[in-house]
Amino acid sequence: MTSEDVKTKLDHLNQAKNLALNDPNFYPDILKGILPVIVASDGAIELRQWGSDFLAETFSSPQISSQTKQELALTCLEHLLTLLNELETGILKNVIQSRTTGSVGGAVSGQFLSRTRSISETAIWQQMVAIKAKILSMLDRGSEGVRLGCIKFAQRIILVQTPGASDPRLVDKSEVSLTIVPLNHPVLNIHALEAEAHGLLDRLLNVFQDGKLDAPIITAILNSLPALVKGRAAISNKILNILMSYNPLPVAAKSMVFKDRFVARSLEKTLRTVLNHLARASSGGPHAGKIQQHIQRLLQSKSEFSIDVPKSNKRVLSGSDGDSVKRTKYTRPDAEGEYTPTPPPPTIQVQPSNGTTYKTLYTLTGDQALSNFDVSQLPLEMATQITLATMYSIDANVLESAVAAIRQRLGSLVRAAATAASSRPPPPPPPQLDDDDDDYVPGGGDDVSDEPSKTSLDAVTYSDDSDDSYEVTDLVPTTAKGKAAAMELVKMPDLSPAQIQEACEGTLDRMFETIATLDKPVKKERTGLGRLAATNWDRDGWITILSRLSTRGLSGIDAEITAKAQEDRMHYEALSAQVRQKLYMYVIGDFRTRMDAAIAWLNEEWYNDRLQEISARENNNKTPLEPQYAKWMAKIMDGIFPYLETTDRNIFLRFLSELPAIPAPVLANIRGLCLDPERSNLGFLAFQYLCMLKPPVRNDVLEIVEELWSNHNDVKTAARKLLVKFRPHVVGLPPKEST
Amino acid sequence: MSKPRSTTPQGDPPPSVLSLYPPARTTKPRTPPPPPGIPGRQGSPDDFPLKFCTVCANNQNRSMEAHLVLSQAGFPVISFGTGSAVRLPGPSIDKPNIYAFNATSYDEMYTELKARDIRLYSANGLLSMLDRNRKIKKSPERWQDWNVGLPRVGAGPVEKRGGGEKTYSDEIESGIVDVVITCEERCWDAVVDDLISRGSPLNRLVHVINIDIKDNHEEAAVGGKGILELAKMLTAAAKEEKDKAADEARDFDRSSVDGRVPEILAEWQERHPTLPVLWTASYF
Repeated sequence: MTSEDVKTKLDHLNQAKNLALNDPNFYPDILKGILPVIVASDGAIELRQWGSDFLAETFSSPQISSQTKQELALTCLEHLLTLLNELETGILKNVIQSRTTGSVGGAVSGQFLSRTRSISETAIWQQMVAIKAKILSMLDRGSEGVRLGCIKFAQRIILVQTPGASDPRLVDKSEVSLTIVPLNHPVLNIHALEAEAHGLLDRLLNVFQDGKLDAPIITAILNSLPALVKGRAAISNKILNILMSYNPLPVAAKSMVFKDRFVARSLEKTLRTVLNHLARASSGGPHAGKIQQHIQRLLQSKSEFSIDVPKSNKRVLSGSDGDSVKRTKYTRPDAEGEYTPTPPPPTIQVQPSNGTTYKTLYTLTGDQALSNFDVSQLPLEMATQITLATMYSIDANVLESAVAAIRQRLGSLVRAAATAASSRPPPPPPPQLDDDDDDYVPGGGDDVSDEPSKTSLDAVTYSDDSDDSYEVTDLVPTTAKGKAAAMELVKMPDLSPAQIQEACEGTLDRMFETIATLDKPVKKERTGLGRLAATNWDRDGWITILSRLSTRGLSGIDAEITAKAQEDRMHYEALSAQVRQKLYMYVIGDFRTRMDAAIAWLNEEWYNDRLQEISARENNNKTPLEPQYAKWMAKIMDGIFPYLETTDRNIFLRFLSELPAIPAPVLANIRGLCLDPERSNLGFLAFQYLCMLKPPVRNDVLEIVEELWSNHNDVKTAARKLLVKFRPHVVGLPPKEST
Repeated sequence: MSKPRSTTPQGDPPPSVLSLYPPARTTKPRTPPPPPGIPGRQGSPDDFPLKFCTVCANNQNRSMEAHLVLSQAGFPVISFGTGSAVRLPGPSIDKPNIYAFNATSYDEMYTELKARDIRLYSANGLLSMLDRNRKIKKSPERWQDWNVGLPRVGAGPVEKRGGGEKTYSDEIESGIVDVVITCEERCWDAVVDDLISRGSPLNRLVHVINIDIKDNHEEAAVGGKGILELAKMLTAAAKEEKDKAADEARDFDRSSVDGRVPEILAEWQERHPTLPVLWTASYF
C-alpha cells in the first residue's frame, strides 16, 4: 500500500468521523465498517493508529448509550485482541482504554447474565480472558504510557471482580460487580475471580511499599484508589491502611535533585488531595479521624523537608497575601472615582445663570464624579483634617484664582439678577423638583468667599417658600455684593451676671471633665526653680490655671460684676468662689490621689492672701479681700477627716508638712482624730510631726496634747510620750537641756 | 426634605485621610496582538498531538490569557473556571459583579459593564479583557459542568460563526484533552477532586498541572507565556517519541510522552522558578 493510498484512505476515514461527530448515531455503523480495515495486518501503521483512536473515542463518548456500547464491544472483541498484539504504544493505549471502558466496564459481564449457558458465550469469555491476560501482563513490563493505561484497567477489573454493595438501595444499576453474578454461574467462577482481584490490588498497592519513585505510576494509582475505597467496602480498609502509612517525602526529599523535589511535592500533594477526598466521603465514618491525622502528619513532614518553593521568589497568591493584593486592586478604581483631587489649576467653567445652585456655583472641578460627591457625608473630623491639610499645602496662586473665579461667578449672577429685575416680569426659572438642596456644599469652594453666600442665604431662604431648591438668581439680592464688602459683625449685648455665672459653670464643668480624662504624667521632671507653671496641658497644668484663676485672675472681674449685680439687686456668687467650690469638690472627690492638687491650690491661696494683705497695707483706701486660705483649708480638712484611715499616714503627714500654715480649727480636727480609738495613732503622729517640724504651731499643739493628757485616760500614754519630749515638766520630769 | 444622597459606598472610611490621593495609575489598554498566521486555524494533529485545557477560577483572566496564547500558536485548547460563579470587580470591594457560568456570554458582560460605568471598567482593564474573551469563545464555562468526551465543535464566539470566520480556536473534536493546566492551587485541588468524584468513567489518562499565577493582568501575561513554553516542550517531547519510532523503524516498542512529563516539568520549573508547578496523573 503506497503512502498515496494511505492518505486517501485517511481522508475518507476523517470524513466518516466528522459525520459521527455531528450525529452520534453514525458511530456504530462507521465502527463496523472500518473494523476490517484497521485491523488488516498488511495495513499501514497510520491506519491502525487512526482506528484505535476512533475505537477509544467511540467507547468514551458520552453520547452513545451503554447498551449500544455493550453490543459494539462484543463485535470488537476479536479485533481488539488482534490490536493488542501491536507493539505501538499509542495503539495499545487506545485499545486498553476502549477495552477498559467498553467491555469490562459493564458490557460483557452484563451480557453473560442475560444469555448464560450458551457455547458462544463461553467463546466470548475465552476471548475476554485472553485480552485481560495480555493487558495485565503489560502492567509491569509495558512502556510507561501503556502501564498507566493498564493501571486503570486493573482498577476496573478489581471493581468488577469484587462484590459490590449488598444493600439493594445502594446498588448503582449501571455498576457491574460480582454481586450480580449468580453463584452457580456455569462459566464464571466467582471465587477465582475475586481472588484474582485481590491479587491485582496487592500488585497495585505494592508500589507504595517498594520505595521506588515512579511518579506517574504512583499518582495514577493514587487517583484510581478512591473509587475502590468508596465502592468496595470489603477492600477499603486494606487500601486505607496502606495509604495512611504512606509518606512519599522521606524517600523523595533525600535527593537534592531538582526533579526529585518537584516530584516529592507533587506526590505529597496528590496523596493529600486523595485523602481529603476520602475524609470528606467518609465523614463520620471510623476512618475520618485517622485520615485527618495522617493529613496533618503529611503537612508537618512537608514543612520538615521544606520541599516547598521558597516563599521569597514565589510569585503566587497564597492566603492573605493574595487577598490584600486583590483588595487594593479592587478598591483602587473606586478610590480613583471618589477621591481624585481637584486637578490644578482648576478649569473654571462659565456657569449658566439660570438654574444655578450653590453646588454649581462653588464647584470648580470639571470632573462629573467628583462634583457629585456629597461632602456632608464625611465625618466632621475627617472634613476638618482634609481642609486643614489642603490649606497648608495649597498653592497660594491656585487658591487666589479659585477665589477670583467664584467672585466672578457671583458677580455675574448679581448682574444677571439685576437685569432680570429691571425687565420684570421674567419667566420664572423652571422649579427643580429634585432634592438638590442636599448638594449644597458649605465651604465647598473655599472659606474666603463663604461669607457672602451665607449672608445671602439667610436673607432669602424664607422668602422662597415655593421650591425646595435655592435658585441663586433669586437668592442673591442686588445688594449682596455691597453687603459683603461692608460686612460687620453685630456687637453682642453684654451678658447679665446670671448668664455669666451660667457660662462659667459650664466652662468649669468642661474643664474638670477634661482634667478627669487626662492621665497623670508618668514621671515628673524636677526642674526646681526653673520650672514654669502650666506649660504642659496636663492635669497639673490645668490645676495651676484654675487655682490661679480663682486667686488672682478673676478677682478684678468679680469686683466689677459684683458692683453691677448690686445695682440690679441681684444675687451674684463670685466667679472665683465658683472655681474654688469646684476645686474643693474635685479634691474631695478622691483626696488620696488628688492631694497634690489640694496642696498646690492651698499654697496659691495662702500666697494670694499675703499679697492682698500687703497691697491693702500699702493702699489704705482699698479693703482687702476676704482671706481664703484658712477657710478652704478648714473646709478640706472637714471634708477628708471622716474618711481618713491609719493607712493614710503618708498622705496626711505630707499634706500637713507642705501647707504653709495650720489654722487652729485644723488642730481641733486632729484632736478629734486622737480621741478616735481606731485612728488615735494617726492623730498623735500628726501632732508629733507638727511639734517637730512646724514650730509656729508647736505651742498650740502642745496645749491640746496637755489637755488630752489630763482629761482623757485612754490616750494618756500616747499623749505622755509627746509631753515627755517637749514639755517634760508637765508630766513631772526635769526639763531637758535642749528642746 | 429627603435624606441626603450619598455617592460614597457604605462602610468604613479609608484609614488615613491624607493618603487619600494615590498617584493616578496609568493602565495600559491591553488589546491582544493580532494572532500570527491564520486566526482560528488549529495546527494539524501531527504537529500538535497533545490537546490542552486551561483552568482558573473565573475563566476570565488567567485561563483566557493562556487560552489565547495557546490557540494563537495553533494548539488545540479549551478553558474552564472552577469557581461557583463568575466574579468580576465592581465599583467597590463588597459589590462585585457576579454572573453565572455558561449562561452569561462575554459579550453580554461587556455590553452591560460598558453601559454601567465605562470609565471605571476601562480603567481597571475589565472591558479590554472581556473584549478579548468574547473574541475567543462565547461564555465562561465551569469545569464541574463539563461533559467530558462530548465533541466540541463550533463553540467559538457566536457573531463570527455566521460568516464561517473564526478568530481563535476553541474546539476539541474528541472532547477530551491530554493536559489540564490550572492557574492556582485551589483550582488544581478542585480539578483533581472533581476527577476523583466523577469516578473516571472514560479511563483516559490526563495530566493535571498547576502553575501558580497571580490574578492580575500583568502576571496573567507572564503566566501565559510560561504555559505556552510548557505546551511547546510537552508537544516537542511527544513528537520526539513518535519520530523516534519512525526513524528506528524496527518495531514500535517505545515509551510515550506520559513517562517523561515529570522530567519535562522539572526542567520547565528550573527555567521559571517564580511560577511554582504541581502535577498529578489522573483519569477522565
